[in-house]
Amino acid sequence: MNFLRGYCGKILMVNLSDSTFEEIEIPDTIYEHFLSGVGLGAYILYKYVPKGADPLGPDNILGFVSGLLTGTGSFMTGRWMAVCKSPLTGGFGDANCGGTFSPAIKQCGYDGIFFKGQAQTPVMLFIDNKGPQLLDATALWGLDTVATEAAINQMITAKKKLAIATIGPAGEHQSLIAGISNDGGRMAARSGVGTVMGSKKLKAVVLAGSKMIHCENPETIRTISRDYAKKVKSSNLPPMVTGAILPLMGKSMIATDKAIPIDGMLSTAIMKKWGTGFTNTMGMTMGDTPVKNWKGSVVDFPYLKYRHMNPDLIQKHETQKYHCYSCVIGCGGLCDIKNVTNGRFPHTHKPEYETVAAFGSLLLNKDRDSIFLINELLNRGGMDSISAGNTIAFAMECYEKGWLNQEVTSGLDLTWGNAEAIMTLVEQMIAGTGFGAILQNGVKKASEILGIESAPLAIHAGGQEPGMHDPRLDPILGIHYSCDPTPGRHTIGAGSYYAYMRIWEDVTWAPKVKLGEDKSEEYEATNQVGLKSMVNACIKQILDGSGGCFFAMVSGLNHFKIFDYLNAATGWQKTPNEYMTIGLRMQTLRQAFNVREGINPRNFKMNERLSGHPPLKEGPLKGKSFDMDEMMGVHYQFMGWDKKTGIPTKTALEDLGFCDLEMEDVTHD
Amino acid sequence: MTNSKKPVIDYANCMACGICSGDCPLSCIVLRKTDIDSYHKAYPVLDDYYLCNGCTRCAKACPMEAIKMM
Repeated sequence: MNFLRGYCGKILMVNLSDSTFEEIEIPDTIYEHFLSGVGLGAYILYKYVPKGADPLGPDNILGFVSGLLTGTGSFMTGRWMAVCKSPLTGGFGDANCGGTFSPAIKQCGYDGIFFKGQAQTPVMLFIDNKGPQLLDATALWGLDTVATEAAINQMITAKKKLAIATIGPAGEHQSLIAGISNDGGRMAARSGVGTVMGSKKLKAVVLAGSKMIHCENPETIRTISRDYAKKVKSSNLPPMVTGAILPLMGKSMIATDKAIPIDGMLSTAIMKKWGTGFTNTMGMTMGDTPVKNWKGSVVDFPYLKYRHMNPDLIQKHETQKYHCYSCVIGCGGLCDIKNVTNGRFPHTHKPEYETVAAFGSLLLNKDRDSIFLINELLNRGGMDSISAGNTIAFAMECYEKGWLNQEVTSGLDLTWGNAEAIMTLVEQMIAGTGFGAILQNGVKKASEILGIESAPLAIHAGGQEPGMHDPRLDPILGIHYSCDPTPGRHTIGAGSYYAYMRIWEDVTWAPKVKLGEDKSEEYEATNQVGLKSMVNACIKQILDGSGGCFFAMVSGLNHFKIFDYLNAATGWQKTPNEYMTIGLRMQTLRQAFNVREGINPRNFKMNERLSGHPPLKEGPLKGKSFDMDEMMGVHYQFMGWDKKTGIPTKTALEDLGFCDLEMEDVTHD
Repeated sequence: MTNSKKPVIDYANCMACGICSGDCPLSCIVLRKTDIDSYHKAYPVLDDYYLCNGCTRCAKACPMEAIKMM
């Protein structure tokens, strides 16, 4: 066991049923096969969660896993992963988050902290340099995430500032779209990870360790970091550039079908200025941002409405920018919202694009102030804003069709754009009361309650609501919505991300995007599309195994040297091609987990509306459509999974090698 | 370990990444809003001069070598 390789070499397994702790040593070979982060998480879940476990029962395992590169001196590698069997999809579940929690896990001496069993009464885990202990959290049960952090800081005194991950009321009462919050409202929101935490009566994980994290070649890491920082520092937009130009940029991007590979550092300059909000308005004109439960376009939410989401206007509330641990871009911000919430909340994290779109154009809501309030409500309540917005959009479309009336909605008028009703509904969903009790479990469950005829209006992939990026603009995005073992994710891959990251400069078999290449070919299930989507899936696993940030990846791997970082941290000297094999193995393990749980991968196909069936009749994506079934097949094929079923082939499993994991039941000849 | 020298941050080189703050075993260094650049970012500051025992972890951790013990 070598502890100078960026990782700690062990995990902590906490049994909440009998309040015992077990340190499990992880052999070097496991890291070489799966890295850390999501890979280590998948390894532990596959090995220790029994087949058929109830996601909300004692057999499920919830893990908090740091990245292999976190704490090594590398930049943009401060993200942690929550992993569990998902109550939303019934398969592998994960969500990742920034802030300051990821290094704190390793500073306690562990690469991951895992929980099995269920506590009888609310508890929290506290770890400092003396070791772990479970503390009574009964007094915290019922508090929102911000209040919980404040209360814990009053209760516990430690030498080091506490790093706290907690659930809010949504996770406590088992809303299926609950997330886990750290740093006062940053959310690991997807897959229902907060629901699983609530099922275990685990209110919070509180870390105050200060152990050193060692790596093989720290000087090399520093050299790579300084080179990247220099590029980021010099990437700035001219001062005269304002949010007013963003809709024009969107129009220009949709104006041509030809690929124009641009340096990813442009995205970094944009992120430094606005954060993810840059695409609040740009996405409207290019067709990326969904409108009216994915059935509308910018024609339904025109400039006079979407102009309220101009990131310059949002930044008028911004009192400071902040970085996650080890980040040199700094897309985060804190906003003063006293005036727009009538003094109810002093501030909120700057609303991310996903939240602005999910509660803006998706619901035809132009009331920016309501979005500030909703953002804080969801962060405090511990609920996924993407899932919540999609679910309310579904309800509004049902209301429009007359399938819902005010008798059912407890008097709420769910007319498109009714900000008052939306805010009330969000509060109800978090509390699990009123009509919110029907929507609190996400769009698939809501549609099951409302009846089979509502299913076509329920926008999800395998039970998970999709992110706010439209596959009709970028069909490769749709492949990942439908084929990833955690479906509905907007961060796995897209044709645009592929072009930005320029991975062909490192991975010899990755196809190069050429200037002037016809983007319309991405609407066909070609080998080129299958190969690109396979590359996306693999590199994203490497990123999530390292604790890396998506925005570093799209700044370009020619700048963000993740392969060099990994070699310097571990001393492995692997080639980028060899790392891609690790990424493929990680993704295949996640898929195998799903197969073992009896999931038919084809059932993760996203709602047909998202592949243009029927096609939109107006707007930038008018008439765009593609064959999702064919696209899924070509992706499976390049992943080494059966083209028809999505089940990993025996040959692929044997070629990849899965150490001590039993893979017999998850393949066929 | 006690060292009379304390960390001094060179903001011209600092990237506001928070590694020093995250690695400080006593949380003497905190991130605080400043006007160092036009983005009004939170930068690290030595919040508690007397609590700091000069362990040098912040200086060793900083990839930018922006912290000197003085």
